[in-house]
Amino acid sequence: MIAWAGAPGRALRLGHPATMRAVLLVGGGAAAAGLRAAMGGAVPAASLGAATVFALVLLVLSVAAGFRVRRTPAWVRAVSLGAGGALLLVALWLSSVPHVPVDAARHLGTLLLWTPVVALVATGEEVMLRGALFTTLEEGAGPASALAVTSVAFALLHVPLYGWAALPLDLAAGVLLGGLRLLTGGVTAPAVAHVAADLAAGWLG
Amino acid sequence: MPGAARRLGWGAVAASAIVLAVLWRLLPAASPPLYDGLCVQDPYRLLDHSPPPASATMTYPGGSFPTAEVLTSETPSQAQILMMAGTFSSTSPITVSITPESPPAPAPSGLVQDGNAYRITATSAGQDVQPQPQMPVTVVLRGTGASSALTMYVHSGGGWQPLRTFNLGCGSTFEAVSTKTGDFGLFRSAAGGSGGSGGGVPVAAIVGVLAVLVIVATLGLARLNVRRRR
Repeated sequence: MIAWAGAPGRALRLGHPATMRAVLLVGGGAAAAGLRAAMGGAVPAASLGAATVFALVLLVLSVAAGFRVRRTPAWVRAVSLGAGGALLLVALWLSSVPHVPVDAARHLGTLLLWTPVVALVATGEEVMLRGALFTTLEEGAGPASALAVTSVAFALLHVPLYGWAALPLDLAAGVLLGGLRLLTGGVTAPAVAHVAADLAAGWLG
Repeated sequence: MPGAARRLGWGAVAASAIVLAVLWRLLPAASPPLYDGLCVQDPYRLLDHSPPPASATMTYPGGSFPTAEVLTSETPSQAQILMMAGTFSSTSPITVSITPESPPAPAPSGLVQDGNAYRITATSAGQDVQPQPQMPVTVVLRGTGASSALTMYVHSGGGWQPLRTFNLGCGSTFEAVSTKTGDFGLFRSAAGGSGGSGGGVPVAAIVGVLAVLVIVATLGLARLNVRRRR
């Protein structure tokens, strides 16, 4: 299980280190999203290089903020809840949105190329948002504020790629992933849900 | 307060699942793949090139028209139409077709067409049928990938009329709602190539400034982290 290894903070207020940390994480994440959009050319969402840089920047920001990986005995529950979250997301998507299934055999090379990048991007977003930022906000301002701010940040992070039309969907998806974070206390569950749902969407079309 | 956090967590999961289900149905076509989906795309198929773009046709029984979709077979589809139940009304069978066509008219001033024009028709007993009032159809077209800033137009009354257009998926698929069937196409500004950052904007400078911001944020976070550990 992946969990926050930082020390407990105090209430968020202007000038407090926890507030500074939250501001720097949000600002750094926004710069990373801008970097992805600027580097990605005409269609940023389709750029492997821009996606990789974006994910690595998020991971570096998280490590700089004190995020560390550690194992805890509850990882089986976290993985199970994450898998359940992914199933829920994919089932809702498949039952609601018309689509043409991807011919996986014909696109195997592309799918295999994209799979680690999608996993890296989803993991980077979860480590930064539901890991470093969520814990900072939860310790300083409580779980409801942490859920709200990280969900809004998650939705805004995707605007450069998909436009404002996608904001409500990404906001709702962010709340779901934040709910998994609250249920398990770590980023494993939301990361598993996010990675699995993104990959399923790609492989299923 | 683990109990309160757990309740909030279950509430967030349940509420967001309901909202997602409603949103995915309300937004007439699709939304982006979930968040950062795989971008698997066939090369765009242009009319008069090989392989040619696909057409699609579906016939529905007369009477109550169902919720339906017709889409071409490329990955992802280059053209789709999504229709709600009752969109068309006829006692005879209704055939919905999508056919790539040469543009019916030159591009509007200052614009260039991106990809093929598509003729989308619904016919019944040899007659053209149009959507019922208050029952618009959703048209989804894919662009060539040369730009992420495209606008869909419908050819109507002798000219191209713009439609409110949304960017979907991996950035090259666009959706618009139309009250009529007819000829549809995607257009982009003739002046700007990518549409993302605009012509003449120094992308390298933007990347440089953003990279500096990332470095400043990283150093600031590291400094705060060191202080906290002391």
